Amino acid sequence: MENIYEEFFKILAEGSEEDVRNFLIENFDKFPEDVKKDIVGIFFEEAVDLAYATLKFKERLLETVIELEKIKRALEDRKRELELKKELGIEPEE
Amino acid sequence: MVVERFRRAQEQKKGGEYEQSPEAVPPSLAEILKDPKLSELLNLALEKDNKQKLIEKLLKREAFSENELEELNNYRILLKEAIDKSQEVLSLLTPETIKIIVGSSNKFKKLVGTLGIENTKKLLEVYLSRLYIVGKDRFDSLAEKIQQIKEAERQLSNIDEQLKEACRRYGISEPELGRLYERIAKGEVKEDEITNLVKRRLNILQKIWDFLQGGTYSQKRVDELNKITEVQTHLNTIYDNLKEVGEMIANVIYTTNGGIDILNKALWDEFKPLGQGLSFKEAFYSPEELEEEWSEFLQEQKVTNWEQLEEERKNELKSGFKSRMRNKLGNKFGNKFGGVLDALINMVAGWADSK
Repeated sequence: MENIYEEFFKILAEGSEEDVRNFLIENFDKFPEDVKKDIVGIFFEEAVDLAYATLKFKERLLETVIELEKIKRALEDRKRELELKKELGIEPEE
Repeated sequence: MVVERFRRAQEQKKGGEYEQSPEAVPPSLAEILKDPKLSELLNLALEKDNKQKLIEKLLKREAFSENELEELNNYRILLKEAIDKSQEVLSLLTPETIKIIVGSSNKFKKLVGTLGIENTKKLLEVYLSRLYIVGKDRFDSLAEKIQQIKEAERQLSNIDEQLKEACRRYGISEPELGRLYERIAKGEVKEDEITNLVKRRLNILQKIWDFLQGGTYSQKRVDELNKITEVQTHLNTIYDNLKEVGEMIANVIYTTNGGIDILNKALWDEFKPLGQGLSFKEAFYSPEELEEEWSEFLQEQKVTNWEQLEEERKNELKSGFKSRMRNKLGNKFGNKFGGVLDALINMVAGWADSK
């Protein structure tokens, strides 16, 4: 039976990044404290990055919506203005 | 004790820097050497700077020169910084912040589920102080991101509410991803489709973003549009854009637990986090390569029969092998210390220990 380290290096050589990460999670309890803190640290850093990316993305989405709605209102106002002018015959359309 | 007496004398001499008392700036070198965690941290800092001579002297408790003591004192200050800064970061991890971070990754959630929050924090404390020593840039970037997540805690639920409201305005209630997850569960589509969909949507969003940044729709330019049909064409584009953004919002806000990793990974790719370390595949090391390294090392150390060596010698060699691999991997991967590289080095050490 292979030891956990040999298994790890085998997966590292043959598997994908995802396989390696899944292996670490699934076999977490088999590792000593020293390695456990690295595993926790790696996934913590990743989770922080993901949370941060999501936060930035949501901010961008909200900014985009606000900007698009501002433009929408400006265009709708302009349309109403042109329609009114047309109705009043001030500035015939086309 | 000589070390400690010297340290105190030095600190008293410096006066201004340590105005209170030497004990006010713990840990002392003696305390570091007594505490396994701290001495491991010191060892790590010395290994990183390739201070083999100092490591050996510390191991054998040999006398230090004045320069060496000064150097050790600098490391002591570095260790104190590492501990303080790690504590600062940990203090940012309030239950609310942890909830946001844990909720962003199913893998981390699984680990926290196994360990519990308190044990996770204990392991993180060690991890963070090590990261401060070996990869300060990464540590700083991580601390900055956590700070921003913490600051956005209240703002985030507000953003979510505003985004949900926007979804309601556009009549979008069911996200495309949700529909895709259902089809994946039924085996009708593959997971790749979600990644592709998110990437397609991100591309569209990027185009809309660039378009908005271009300032095409300034008030002045809107006022210059003189035909109703022309204005309507522009409005149609904006309606389409809003619908696209609305779909994207729905996918971010209403995502399922199962899909969060896929969605977040796509977002992660898009926002390319700074200061990232290595991936495991980059740090590739095969079992054969490892065996080769080990044989080469034993040869250099003139070891012909490993089995017959005394335990003490074996431990010395294992420790030497770990240092050698740390230097070798460190040189190969430049400044990408911490995280994956440290895990790899510890795996190598564990592998050597199993010899």
